Amino acid sequence: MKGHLSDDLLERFDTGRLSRAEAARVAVHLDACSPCAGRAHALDPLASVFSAVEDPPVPEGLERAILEAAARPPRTEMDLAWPVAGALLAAAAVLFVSGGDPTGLATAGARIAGAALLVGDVVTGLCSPVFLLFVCATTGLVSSVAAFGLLGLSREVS
Amino acid sequence: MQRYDRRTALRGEPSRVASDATLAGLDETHVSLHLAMAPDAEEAAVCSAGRGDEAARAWIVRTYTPLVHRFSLRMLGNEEDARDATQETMVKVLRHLDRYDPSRRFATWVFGIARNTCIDEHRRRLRRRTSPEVETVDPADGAFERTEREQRAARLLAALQRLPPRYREILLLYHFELLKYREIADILHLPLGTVMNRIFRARSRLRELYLALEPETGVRP
Ligand SMILES: [Zn+2]
Repeated sequence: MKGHLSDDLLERFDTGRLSRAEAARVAVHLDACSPCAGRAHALDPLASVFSAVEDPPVPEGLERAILEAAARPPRTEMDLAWPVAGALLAAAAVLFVSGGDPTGLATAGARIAGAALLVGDVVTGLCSPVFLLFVCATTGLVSSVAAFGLLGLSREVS
Repeated sequence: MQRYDRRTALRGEPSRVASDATLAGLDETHVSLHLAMAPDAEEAAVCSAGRGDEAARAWIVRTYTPLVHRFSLRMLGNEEDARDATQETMVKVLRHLDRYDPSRRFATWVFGIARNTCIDEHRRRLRRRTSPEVETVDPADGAFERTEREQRAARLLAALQRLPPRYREILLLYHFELLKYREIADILHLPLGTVMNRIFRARSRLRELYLALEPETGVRP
């Protein structure tokens, strides 16, 4: 496409009367040619209305809030590492408290879960009860599974 | 002529980087701020920001927050959601500067993130509320105090809010953010032909909605 686009071509482009291939060629020209792009925009009957729309003011304090939020360290794998470490510790505690006795496991697990709930409640006052319940349930489940695994392992060794 | 100037400037061509002097007094209400810097300078600023330069990071926030905010507000139609989406977008931008591919224009990358964030925000909003609480501007509100120009602008924004989101986003990118067809195709992950088609359909639909909102005696645009 040599030179600029004719008014007729732009008009047909604007009203969707070009073939796909022709329209694509026009679009490529418009992307590269500001004068023609400006003319194409002005063809829209609503062009003057679009330019009448004013920018909304940016909410007060938003820019500062963004810079502060971006400066805080994002959540990483370490955030996940703590609960996992906690669960393993709990599992070891279950094994220790029950002295390797399978019947004592449930009671010990319940005690530790209760203690975890209490500590968690105090430490993470911001957490929702649903989240805490989820953490305790997961901890209990993981610790029981791990305890049984460790128990089996210790029996095999001895 | 002024549209041509604005478009050129918005497309980041250094020859026409708009100065306050050239823009003063023009009928331009939404001149983008990022045209204040030529592409090379912008690339350098983005690069410095990626290395943790505080001033460069602040410059990105100062320059792009207004653009992302106006896009989000027009996309979501609600100030509270727009604020959240803007903050989330800009924090993602600052945290993931290392993922920016300099072969694309920075604005394209930012708008891509803003668009995805708005989609997420819209979904969250639908879950939170039974019906979307869109602060649709009633075009008739305070009609007596407003000038004809302001009323037409309000009608256009109201018409935009009534469009399906896929039409709304493409018109916002095309008409307000003045992005190129290629850039829009890139942001929306669509072939160029589909972009042109969708813009065409969206504009026809917008015109219908706009005219439907016009008072009987209203002056046509
Ligand atoms: Zn041309």
